[in-house]
Amino acid sequence: MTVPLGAALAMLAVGFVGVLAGRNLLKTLVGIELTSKAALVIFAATDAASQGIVVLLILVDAIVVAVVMAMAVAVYRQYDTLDLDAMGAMSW
Amino acid sequence: MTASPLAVGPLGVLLVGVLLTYVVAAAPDQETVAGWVASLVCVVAFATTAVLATGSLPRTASVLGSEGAVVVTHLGVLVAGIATFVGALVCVASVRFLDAGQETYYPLVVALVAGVVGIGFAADMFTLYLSFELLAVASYALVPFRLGRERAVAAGTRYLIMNVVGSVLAIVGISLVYAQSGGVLAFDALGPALVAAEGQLVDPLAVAVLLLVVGFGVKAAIVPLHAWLPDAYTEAPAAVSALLAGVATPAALVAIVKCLAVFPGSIPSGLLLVGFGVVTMTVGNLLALRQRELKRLLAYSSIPHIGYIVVGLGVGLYGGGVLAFDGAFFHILANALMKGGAFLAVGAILYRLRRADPDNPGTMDSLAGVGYRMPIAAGALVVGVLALAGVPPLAGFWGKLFIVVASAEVAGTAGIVLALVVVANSFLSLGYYLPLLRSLFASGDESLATLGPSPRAIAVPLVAVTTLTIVVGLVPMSGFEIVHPAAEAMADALTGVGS
Repeated sequence: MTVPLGAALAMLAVGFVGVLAGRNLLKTLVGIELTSKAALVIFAATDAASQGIVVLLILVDAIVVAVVMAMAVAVYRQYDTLDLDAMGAMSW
Repeated sequence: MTASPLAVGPLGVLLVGVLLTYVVAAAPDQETVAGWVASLVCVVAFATTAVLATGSLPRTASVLGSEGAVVVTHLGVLVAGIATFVGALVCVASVRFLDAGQETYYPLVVALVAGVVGIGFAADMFTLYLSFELLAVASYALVPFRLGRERAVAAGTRYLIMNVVGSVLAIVGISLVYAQSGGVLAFDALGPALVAAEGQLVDPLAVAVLLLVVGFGVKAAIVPLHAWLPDAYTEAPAAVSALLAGVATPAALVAIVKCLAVFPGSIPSGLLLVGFGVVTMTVGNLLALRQRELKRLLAYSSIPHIGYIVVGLGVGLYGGGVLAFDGAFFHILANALMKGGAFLAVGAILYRLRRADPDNPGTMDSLAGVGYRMPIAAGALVVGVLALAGVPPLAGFWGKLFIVVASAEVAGTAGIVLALVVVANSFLSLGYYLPLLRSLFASGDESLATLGPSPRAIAVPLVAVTTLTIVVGLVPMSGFEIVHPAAEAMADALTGVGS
């Protein structure tokens, strides 16, 4: 369990840094996807009975990717860029 | 626990309702009809919930062959009742706000309500997470609903990114619980499973608690995770803000408390929540003091109310007292009425103001005299705002009172200090609520003389919510009878874990 757990937490950390540091909305999406896979690794490593959960989680991830990409289209139409700093969406 | 197929009723009605509403709305020029269908769906779901509430609880049901994914508890009935009630009112009110060609609006609203109901009825952490995602995805589309506005897109993007990351943290937390319990996620079986695992590895559970609080806490807008809230509530349609502030953010708190209640007492989850709650209400009130824009002021003022509820839940988890849960759940009920009413009233006022002058900034100064032109909306706003401030004979007072008394009872000197902080925050909030009331009834200038009264589709829900705010305030036992079984069940579950 230690190795998968370590791998999962590493993916979580790398993805999280990607979300925090990335300026491009699509790079943010890559970071988000990396973090969400950490949960899949932990579920899959625990036992085989988790396969139903894993399949449903993949479905949920696909929906979230679709929503973020739709948002990216909306952002590009309004701002002509996907740069989050330029549009001021993530500054506070 | 009795099994019955009716237990999936409210959720089933709402999920079918999403499709039904979409089919109706997809026909040309049928948005208004879709609005009535959506509110009818919510009313039917509310009625089903009411029928369930009169039977013996908890009641279970199987979904798609997997046993016990849904269980009707007192807490679930409370959450589902609030969500479907506010959902129905929001659908009625939206009929007037909506322009043509927006056929996805009502299906999304019904889906959001279904997500909240699912959170209430979820029997295990994974079903809870799926319901939470349903609520979240619907709100991702509803917050930036006016995609033509630049600020709405920016607010929606920030809301989307923060909340997606929050959801991911929550599911990682749940996966850690799954690993620790050896494959158990059902709430009623988790307590013993986690106590057994406590001996060897305590740390992963503490990490899981933190991930769950932070993950669901983003949606609940716990400070410092609230950065998305002011812009999102300001830019979203007023009816959506009413739904988010009155129903969706408290639902995230219910998700937190349902998850934390199964952890062993050695993890100080109650203290963690109390800490977050104190910071949330204080920072929220201080931020709200500086706001001049009507809708933004209301947006900021939802943060302290989350704080009060979090303190109540934290005290309950810490001391296991029924009274604290009574207060927290009562405030969830009151918050739905007060915040729902206030945002709908602001929506009606801004609707009329922007009809008269499209560039109206919606600041407090531009409101002078609105109170005389739109008595129903202004009256509802006055009652809502006074109730939010915690003025005694209104709904907002009793929840706070229970929370204050419970925290003073549970933890000695520290508890009394905590109680005083809650009381001080209530007075602090008058600092921004009273100027709002004054500007509503200030002597108006001539330009507002042509302002029409509140549209009827909004006036009816406003009167309903306002009446309830007053009735629940004058007869607190009526609200108390609704929330007390849920609080008692929660406290019983906690003491069961401790033994």
